[in-house]
Amino acid sequence: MSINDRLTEHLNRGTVGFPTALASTIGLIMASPVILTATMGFGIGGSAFAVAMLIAVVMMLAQATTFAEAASILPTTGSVYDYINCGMGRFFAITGTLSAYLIVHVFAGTAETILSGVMALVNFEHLNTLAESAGGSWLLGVGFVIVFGILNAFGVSAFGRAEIILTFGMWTTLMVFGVLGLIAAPAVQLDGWFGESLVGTDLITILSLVGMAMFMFVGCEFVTPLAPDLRNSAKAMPKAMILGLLSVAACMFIYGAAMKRQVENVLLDAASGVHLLDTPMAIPKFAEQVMGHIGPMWLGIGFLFAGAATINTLMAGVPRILYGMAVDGALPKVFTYLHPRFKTPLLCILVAMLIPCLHALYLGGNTDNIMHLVLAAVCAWSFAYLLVTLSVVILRIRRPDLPRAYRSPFFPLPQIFSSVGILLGMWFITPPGMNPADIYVPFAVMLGCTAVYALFWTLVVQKVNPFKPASVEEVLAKEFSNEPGPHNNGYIDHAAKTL
Amino acid sequence: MSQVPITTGISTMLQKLSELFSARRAPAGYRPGVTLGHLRRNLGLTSFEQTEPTAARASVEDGSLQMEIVEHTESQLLMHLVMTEFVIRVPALTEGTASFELHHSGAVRRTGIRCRQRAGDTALLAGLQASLQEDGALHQALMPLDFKRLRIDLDGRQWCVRLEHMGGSEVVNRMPAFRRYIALSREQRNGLLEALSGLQRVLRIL
Repeated sequence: MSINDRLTEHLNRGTVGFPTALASTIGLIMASPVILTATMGFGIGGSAFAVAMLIAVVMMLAQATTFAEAASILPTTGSVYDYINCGMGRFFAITGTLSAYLIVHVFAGTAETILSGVMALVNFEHLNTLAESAGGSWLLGVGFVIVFGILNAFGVSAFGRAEIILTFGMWTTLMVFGVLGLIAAPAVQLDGWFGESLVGTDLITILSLVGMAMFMFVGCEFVTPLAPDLRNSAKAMPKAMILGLLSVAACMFIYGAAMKRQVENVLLDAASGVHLLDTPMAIPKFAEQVMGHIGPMWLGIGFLFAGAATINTLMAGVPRILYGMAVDGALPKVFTYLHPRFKTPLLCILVAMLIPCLHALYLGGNTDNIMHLVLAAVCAWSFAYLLVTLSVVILRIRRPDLPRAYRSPFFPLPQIFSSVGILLGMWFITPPGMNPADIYVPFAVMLGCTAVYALFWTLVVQKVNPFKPASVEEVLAKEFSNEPGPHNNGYIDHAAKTL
Repeated sequence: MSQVPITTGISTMLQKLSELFSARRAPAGYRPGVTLGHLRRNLGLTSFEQTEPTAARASVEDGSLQMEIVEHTESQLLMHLVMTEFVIRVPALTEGTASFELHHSGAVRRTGIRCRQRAGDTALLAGLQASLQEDGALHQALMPLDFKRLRIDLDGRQWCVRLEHMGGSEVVNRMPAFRRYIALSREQRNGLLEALSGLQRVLRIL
């Protein structure tokens, strides 16, 4: 059977419908860093941040079509690695993949660790005072990491059955508070829905807010690997992405407008220019304004469970992935070690625990660093996006003959738009009042280390040309190599037939 | 106005809510059969037939071992795991009811195979333990095998072995957004098939 036939057969297998695709696009609305980013973004930018969010939605939409095309050419388990490897070679593939997964985890995981405790306890005045006197409420997040790391080491799966309740609870909480905040009498007189921007409304200012706005839509490209499996994917996929992104945006707009209407953004520190909405303290104020004494308790409990569940997710997922990478030979063999009784990857769990804990300890749990971490994560994430886009463009030019079950419409306009947008977003990523070095330096250091590792791994260990793109046919042949039936040269011979 | 449509409507709504919050509900974004597809390519068995969206039947080339493979999920917040379970059924010589769980012993390194009885006829335990020790090939296959769960049930005149391996699973994550299949290495794949064959051999005469 030719590679074309095998690919067609693969694409026809296990089709899913539009609802599944839509469910996949709607993600982590109530993750603590996302809420704080939204609060801060609307706080400093007001209507300018709302415009930045709209720009981010369109950019993400354009980027998602690129991911969808890549997934339809290479429906492999390697995903991002394979896309970049076939477009630009192993060096960029390793750097891009580690940037997308590991560096994002280093920054965003640390932000979640620090914030999960802070966001929960800030709603309980007495507990917060107690925690601060004991070293800081952020230590609760570190405690979560340690507790869930240990539970996972013993093979205990917390929250396993509560996913739907938690997800539903988060959505309900955010929407209830948002809608109540909108319909209640305003505590603040605003110009427009989101109020005036404290930092101006010129183009450069809006661009400087796009980086923060992009973080709202983290994970929106999750739907793209579905593209080959979607019934009528050419229509269903963009529809799912548009609806998914707009649902997230709508939820955030409601929350942002409600927050601005109900909480006065008072100046807390004239020297540093810190306003109330720049801090987690805005959350209990908002909750109390909307729902009285019960509000902060509700939000506090919500954040407590959301933070704990998110951290548990990291502790359950990351170690298994590290184990899988070790099985594939991408990490040293020692990472395949499993505990004799519980069959849990202890070393992998230890590494997954140490990364956010040590990073949070290094930063002293200071919430002033959260936005730097979030924006550094956005840089890492944007870098990987750029490499995927470049690879898809290169493959379109170099290999127009490849079978593509989904083709990005209006090529290359979405690619140009998303890439220019991402580059501008990265260039102007520092919002007014922040030091660019606090974002660029940690990101550059991490990216540099990753690049050095990629170069060493390809040149010294794998002994291959790091910049030679892999053949799509070879990557697919490897993916399908265990399929029954003859599959030797047939893959390569028939690859040039377009679907 | 008739009350029947209202009652039906409420009943439908309650049914839908019950399904929504049911523990058995599939996680959002779960694609039944995708992990099985990866496993099919990973195992490279000549005979592999998907019988249901989440189940397949496979056998080794000479037909001496036939197994069912079932996909099941474990939900986490914004992430889910898809695991696969290998099931073999063997006719039993004697009728009875029993349930056993096998796991490796040892604190840091694997020192042996321990068999724990969960329910049923206690006389069978000694026989099963002895068989596991005496069958050298089975013992050799089980020791390095990264099985997460291994359960042996006797129900009437049939043994049922359920083995969940660490590999052959998939992590589907939303933040960061990706999915990754955890492969069975060649050694683990061979060990898995040898272990299942060995268990089939032992249980046939127990």
